[in-house]
Amino acid sequence: MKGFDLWKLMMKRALPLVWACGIFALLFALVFFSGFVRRDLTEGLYRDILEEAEGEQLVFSCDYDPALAQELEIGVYASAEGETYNVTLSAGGQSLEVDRYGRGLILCRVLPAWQALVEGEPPDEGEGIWLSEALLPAGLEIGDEVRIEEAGQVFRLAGTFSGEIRSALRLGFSPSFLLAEDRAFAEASVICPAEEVFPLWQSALGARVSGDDGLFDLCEGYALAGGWLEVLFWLIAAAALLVAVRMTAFFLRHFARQTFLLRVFGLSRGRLILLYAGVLLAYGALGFALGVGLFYAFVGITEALSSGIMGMVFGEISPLPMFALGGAVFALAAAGTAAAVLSGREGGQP
Amino acid sequence: MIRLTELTKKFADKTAVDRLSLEVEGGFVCITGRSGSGKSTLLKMMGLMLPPTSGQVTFDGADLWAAPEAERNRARNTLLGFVFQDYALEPHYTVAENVELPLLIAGRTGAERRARVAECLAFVGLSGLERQRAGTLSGGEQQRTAIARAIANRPAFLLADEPCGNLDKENGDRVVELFRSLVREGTSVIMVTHNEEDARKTDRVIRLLDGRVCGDERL
Repeated sequence: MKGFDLWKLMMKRALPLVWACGIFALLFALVFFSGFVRRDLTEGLYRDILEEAEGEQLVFSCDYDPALAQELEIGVYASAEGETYNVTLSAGGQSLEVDRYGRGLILCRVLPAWQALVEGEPPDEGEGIWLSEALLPAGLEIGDEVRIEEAGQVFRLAGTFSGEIRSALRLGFSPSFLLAEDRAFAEASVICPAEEVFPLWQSALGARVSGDDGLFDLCEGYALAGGWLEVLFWLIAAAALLVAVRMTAFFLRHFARQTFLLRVFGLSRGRLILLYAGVLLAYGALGFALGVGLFYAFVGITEALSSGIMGMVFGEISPLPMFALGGAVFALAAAGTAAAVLSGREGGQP
Repeated sequence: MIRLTELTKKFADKTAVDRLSLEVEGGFVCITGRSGSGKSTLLKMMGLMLPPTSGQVTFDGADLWAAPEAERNRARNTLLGFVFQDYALEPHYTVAENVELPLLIAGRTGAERRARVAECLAFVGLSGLERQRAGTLSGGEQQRTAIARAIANRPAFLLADEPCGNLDKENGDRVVELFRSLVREGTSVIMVTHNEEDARKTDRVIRLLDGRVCGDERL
């Protein structure tokens, strides 16, 4: 295994590359994980609603946000940007204005396929709608008629969905990772029973909560916390990138010297390419394992400190699996690194 | 024997080596000349590191620049040994790992490598430093490590480009003495230097001027 022995020697002294790869991997893991969380929680927030409401009509109270509506593929039925829009729902002989914060009403049709929501198509009169529990006038029950006065349409109440917000919290809803959805979440919370959601938010964000004004402050506080976390994230990313560039320079110098020596002493071009492919593969794997390990250790630590804002970042993710996973990945990376180092000593040392 | 026939190397608008013909049968040969005279370029072409613009480099009749690359790789690994002015060691490797590099490329077994590394380090007087990182050695020790690496595969020709250029006189003399010992054991050493004193310690001094031989003196 002459190639293998050479590979082991190559592996031995370039351990800084592990750190370079690890930093890259950590950076990528953060980016990918943030995207994953954002997508997952966005869908997690609405998927349950929509799955349950498949084939039904859904009334959903939210800020009028065309970009968000487009992202979520929610059709806008009755809302207008910049307008104060008042919608009055009437049911069971009672009326309720739902728009006292300038929010509009997004009305969407839920089709069997999540991707096939039809934008802007109002529901047919008489079809079922879903309402937030918080918006329900007392005494309204499933199957009752609900009238949207401005639209002059009457629907049947098919269900309520306040529980979905709690589902989102259980999934680890995160300000830093959910910047695009903060408004959606904030607004979604409006339609949740406030007494269930506010304490969680107040604890996590330290926002003032007192009645309607408190709710508004809470949303602002949420966006502020998300903003700072985003700044922190990008600072970390920038630092990681700088270190990675530095390590890449090392990487290039190291292999430039190696290439010269290997070629001068007769290594063929083909074997050189194979050798480097093997080295990069091994370091990439080790580095990625290290990066993932660091990342999950970070997750675990922040979870352990969950009384603070960083705890909120990772929501209600249980720390134990994270510590276990982080530990396992660390052990793997350490074992792999040690194996590479120790096996590199074989040969050449009488 | 190395035979150079009408060897020419041009770089853009400059001719570094100009239709140079030469034979090196063996022994301790020095190529000397002023800076820019083409001596290092000539050594690189002889060492199969730099292709000539025209002409031939033959080793015992075989024109290796006309041969497939695999043959040149093999020749660099087993027929030739190289020593550079800046040592060209891998500073993060141990002394032993540096010396075993050509042996690894040659596909020697672990036992063979260990034995040969010990032998080479004993030859250059570095026994006991096997586990020390090359980057922590003195200049003289690094150059001796480089010599040990160069002779690891028992090359017929050892090509040394200004091997004493970075060394003080004591260490330089020691390197030249090592070369002399190698010659006694049958290795041909071709050393490029601009140091007249070092040149006088060899068996033959070939002087270059503007890429051509301007003197060939046997001592």
